[in-house]
Amino acid sequence: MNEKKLGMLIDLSLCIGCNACTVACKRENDVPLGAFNTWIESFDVERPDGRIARANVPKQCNHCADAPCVKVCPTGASYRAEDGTVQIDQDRCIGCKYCMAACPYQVRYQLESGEVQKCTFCHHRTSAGLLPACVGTCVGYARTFGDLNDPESDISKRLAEANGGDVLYEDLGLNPSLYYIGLKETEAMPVASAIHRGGNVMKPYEG
Amino acid sequence: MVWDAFIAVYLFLAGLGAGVFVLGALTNWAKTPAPRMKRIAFVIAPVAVAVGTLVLVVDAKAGFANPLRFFLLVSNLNSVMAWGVIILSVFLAVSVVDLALLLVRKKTPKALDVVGMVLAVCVAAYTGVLLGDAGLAFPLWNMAILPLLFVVSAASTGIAAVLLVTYLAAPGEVEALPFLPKAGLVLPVLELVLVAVLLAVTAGAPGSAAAAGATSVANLVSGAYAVPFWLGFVVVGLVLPFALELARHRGAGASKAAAVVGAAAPAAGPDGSAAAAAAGSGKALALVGEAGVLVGGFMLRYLVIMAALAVVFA
Amino acid sequence: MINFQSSGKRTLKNLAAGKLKIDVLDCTLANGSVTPTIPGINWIPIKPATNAAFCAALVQKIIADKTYNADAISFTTQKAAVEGGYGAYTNATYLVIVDENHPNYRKLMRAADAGIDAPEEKDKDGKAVEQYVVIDAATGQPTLHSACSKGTLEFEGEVNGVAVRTGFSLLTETVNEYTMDEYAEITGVSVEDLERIAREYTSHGTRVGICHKGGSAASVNGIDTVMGAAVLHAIVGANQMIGGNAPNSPAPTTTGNGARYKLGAIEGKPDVSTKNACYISRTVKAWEKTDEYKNRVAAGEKDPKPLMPWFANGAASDSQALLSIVNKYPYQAKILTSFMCNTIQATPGAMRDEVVERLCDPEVLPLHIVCDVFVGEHAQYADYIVPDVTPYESFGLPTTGTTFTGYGTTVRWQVKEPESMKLADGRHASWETFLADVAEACGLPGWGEGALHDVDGKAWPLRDAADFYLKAVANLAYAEEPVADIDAQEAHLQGLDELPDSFKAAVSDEEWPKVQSVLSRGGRYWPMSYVHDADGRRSRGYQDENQTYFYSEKRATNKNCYSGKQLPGTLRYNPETFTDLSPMEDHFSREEYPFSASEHKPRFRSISMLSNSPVMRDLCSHNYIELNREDAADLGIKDGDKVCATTPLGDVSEGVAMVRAGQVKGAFALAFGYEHQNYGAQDIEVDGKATKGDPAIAAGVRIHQMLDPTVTGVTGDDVISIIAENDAASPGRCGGMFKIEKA
Repeated sequence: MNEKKLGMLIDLSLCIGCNACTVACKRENDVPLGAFNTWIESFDVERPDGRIARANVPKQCNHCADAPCVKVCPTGASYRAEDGTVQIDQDRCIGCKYCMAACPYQVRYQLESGEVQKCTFCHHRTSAGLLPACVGTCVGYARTFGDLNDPESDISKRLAEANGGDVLYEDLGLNPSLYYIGLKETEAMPVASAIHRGGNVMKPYEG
Repeated sequence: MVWDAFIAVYLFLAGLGAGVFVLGALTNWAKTPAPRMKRIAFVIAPVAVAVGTLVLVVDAKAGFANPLRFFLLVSNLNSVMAWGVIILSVFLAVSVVDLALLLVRKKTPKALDVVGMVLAVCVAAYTGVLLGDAGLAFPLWNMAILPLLFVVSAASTGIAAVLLVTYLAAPGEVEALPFLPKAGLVLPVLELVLVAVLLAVTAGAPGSAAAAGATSVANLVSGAYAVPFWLGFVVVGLVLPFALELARHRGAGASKAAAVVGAAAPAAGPDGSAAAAAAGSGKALALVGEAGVLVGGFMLRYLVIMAALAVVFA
Repeated sequence: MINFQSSGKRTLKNLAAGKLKIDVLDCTLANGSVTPTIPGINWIPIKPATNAAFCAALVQKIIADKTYNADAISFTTQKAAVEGGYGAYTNATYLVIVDENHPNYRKLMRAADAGIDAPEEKDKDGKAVEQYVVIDAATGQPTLHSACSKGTLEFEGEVNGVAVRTGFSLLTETVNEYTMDEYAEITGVSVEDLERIAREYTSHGTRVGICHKGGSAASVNGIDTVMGAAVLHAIVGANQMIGGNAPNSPAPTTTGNGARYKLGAIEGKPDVSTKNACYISRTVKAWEKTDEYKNRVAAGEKDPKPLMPWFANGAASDSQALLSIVNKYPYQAKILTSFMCNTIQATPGAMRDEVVERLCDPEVLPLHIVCDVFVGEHAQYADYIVPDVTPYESFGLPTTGTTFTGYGTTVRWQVKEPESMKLADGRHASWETFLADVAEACGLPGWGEGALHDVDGKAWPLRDAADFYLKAVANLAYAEEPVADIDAQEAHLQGLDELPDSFKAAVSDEEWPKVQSVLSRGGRYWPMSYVHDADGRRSRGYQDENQTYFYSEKRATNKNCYSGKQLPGTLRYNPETFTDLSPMEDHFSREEYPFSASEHKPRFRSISMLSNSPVMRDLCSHNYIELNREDAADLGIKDGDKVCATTPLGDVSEGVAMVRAGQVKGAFALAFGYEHQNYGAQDIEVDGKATKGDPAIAAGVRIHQMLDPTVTGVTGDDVISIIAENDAASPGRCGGMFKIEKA
């Protein structure tokens, strides 16, 4: 395979929920208030040994190989780029929000001007050889970025060590390019608090 | 919530327009001529669909600000919406031409009416497919059931809209299509069954969709949207019209019986005013019933959009 | 100043590699390294204000199991410890006079007390070296601590007819005042965990440590925590050892008398010290040593009590100073200048109408000048506000604090022209500019023309921040080995050749390219090998005096100014008390007020700032009252309910409940930095220009602690006093007594 397939790997054991990525992303991409290209969902869990731990799960566009947003976009504004990422040509976007509705990860939002926006894997940086802002700023080196099709890339090596990693909603069959280490293990632990998005309640705790 | 009442209005009007058109075209085969009913239908259909489409255009904020981008709408034929645009456009064209012909020449070519009917069914079904293609994100938006449900609802609301105006503008033609009363009994039952199936299937959604599916159903049945669901959709939209239609059926039989009794006992009234009164109140009740169908039709779209919970938020 | 990024990186890396084990004792589970899937780390919930009980439990177990490092704690001098392979020693073997009738009761035994002739020894500053008495481990005889290398740990008996005990012996007694079960009950930490942690802690030689930050001591019994951690570090010999506890974060002298400039030397500096003056915060001086006490006794008063408490062992305290000012005690503050602080917001219990009214009353405080970037809670009550500059517009050489064990320091410098008003001479308004101009106008020494001197004796002016800080940068650039000059191209690429002329003028032409080099790198750090030695010790500074007090004479002899009570000199868990050292639970019913409080660092705010940042508010619009899920269930409180935490004196903290397993039972927690009143939340007018406030800035809740009922309204008619640490004077932020109800 010569084609590039850029992807990201997040090791949940190393994510301390500091939200530095969230802020770096907001600054880097001029994300409007109230919207996020990436965010962290934090919540208490009961570990198998009975102790309580704090889970932090960063979320963002999964850059799916079979992206529903690309499929449903009538104007072709949402498209899969040559590097395997899902991008939006905002000059083609009419703001019908079909892509926003179709995305199971709900990572898209509408700008004040009407166009839809989401994580680009910092295309403007990565195309210049830089890391995405969230990866560059990550305190715990939880995030790894690179070419999934290059077996020599850091991300491929780290994925191989982690036996392929986990993806979110694997059963939906979208072939995401956002991998996690420890996602399934974390998901198997009972949740013991509200789920916070940043510091705001996304889902209250029912007890 | 990605979409809101705006889109519900569009889905409702598009379905209604489609249903209206089919009914208008069916008057071609009516037992007694119903020219005014046909004109009513052929006016409502393109207006409803056009207004619905306009709502959609306004809601597409970036396109509304940069209208040239709407020309890109058929760029991706993998997109259901691109096909929807095509279907809607052709339907709008056919229904407008048909209306023009009807107004100018007083009649429409049957072949064009049939084409329009086929397109109308496509429009109605498309409103369901549109949501269904985002069903991966919102388990309530079931591709197998929503199109059929929306077609049935389109038929109901189409009939209701035409009858409502016909009762007011051309009461003589109300009974030109003899299958309508039956439809008034069958469609609500069918709709209720389809909604039940939709809820059952959604509640039992597997894997990643399970929690969102169950929560969406709970939203409707017992949660934040329970009141509009039970009162607005089930009672006002289905049970009330069905009951009134049923009562009318029984009433039609009863008024015949009353006439017989009246003949036997002339003291009952001077000139059968009881029957006239019955007819008058019957019309009022019928109007209430049709209005109920329209309310229910909108509620259905509104609730399907608003109560749907995305996979990630469950 | 703690570098969380570097400690976070190293902690995670070593945990993931299986090279590190951590138990996190915290009332509240923070976002942090206790992730669900990382190995080697546990969150152990602990009740607020009981950290000392945890430490004491560990020490009890360690002494019982004899798993302490008897070698390391027996050294009587630094020299002996260094020769024995360690980097620190303790006073565990020093004898303490326990004879109640002895004039030096509770003090460490000196040579004179033991009747031993002591040599006249002076330290490098010319101060006489105290000669303490130990029982020489080699001979079993009383001797001077400096005359032997190791003392006997356990001794109880008489020396020269005086009853004495070793500090270690006293410690053994005080940590055994509670049973393990009682410690478990007090702390909420199970006996199994206490014993497991004690075993684990003593299973890794000197490569263990306790990382305890300010919050762990932010209660009225906070010093106990500090003592506990100190004893635990010393008891395994971990001080100054690699992988152990590196208490000093060494850096070359920059803002003092450094390699190029003598910034610490001020000609004509007035002789003001705690010897001839006293802090308005009533600290660093015992009540009996004050002039007021002496005068009142001289006037015939017996056992006089002060209007507000004095803290002999406390350092300068802004919180206590604020309360002193509003009470006009011990003296009236005529002028208050505050710089970049929000004391009234940051002092729990202080932000209340009575305090604000007095702070604004010219009869109480005639002149209040604030220099700040923001009009915060404190600044809003000032008579004048001098605009300040932001971190990007200012200078600073903060040493990186206790989590950085290497050698070096960061440099913050003015990377953009300040937004504050520009003065006619080109300077911008700032704290330094204000100080310089006021000092010059008042003719104070140390400012203006010829105020600063370089090592060659040349005089330099001090009128602006750059004048001072760039000389400090030069000191850093020339420390140890001078850095190389910056490459001209690099200077150009970084825009360092476009810096203001005033920068260049602040140092010599020869120094400038070296100063540029340090600026370009944001500071100067030496390789870790510079501080780490191959033999397991830190190579720099381990020869320097590093003694741990097993027995703190200062604390043992500190008499409470109201009750005369004294706390032991060794580690003991002391339940929370009011100022007169009477237990809180003697005043109010714990049954009625079962909850205590803790505050923690917010992820999306600072202690008193950042609520004006729209991005931070976007991430977290308000904080919560965090409650354990079992407590919440008992109280019928659901996640998201509005709840009130109320003190016995009726102070109410109202907020939104966060019901979670990650909060210790019996206490609630909240992140500080919320519930502002000003700081952009209210409309303000500056020079006639109105700015609309944003109420979102005020969102959330802060702890409304009770005032001290044993001082407030007791010693004087209208005295207001906060609950505070008996020794440190710091406010009782965590702990206290509360009941929680649905709002």
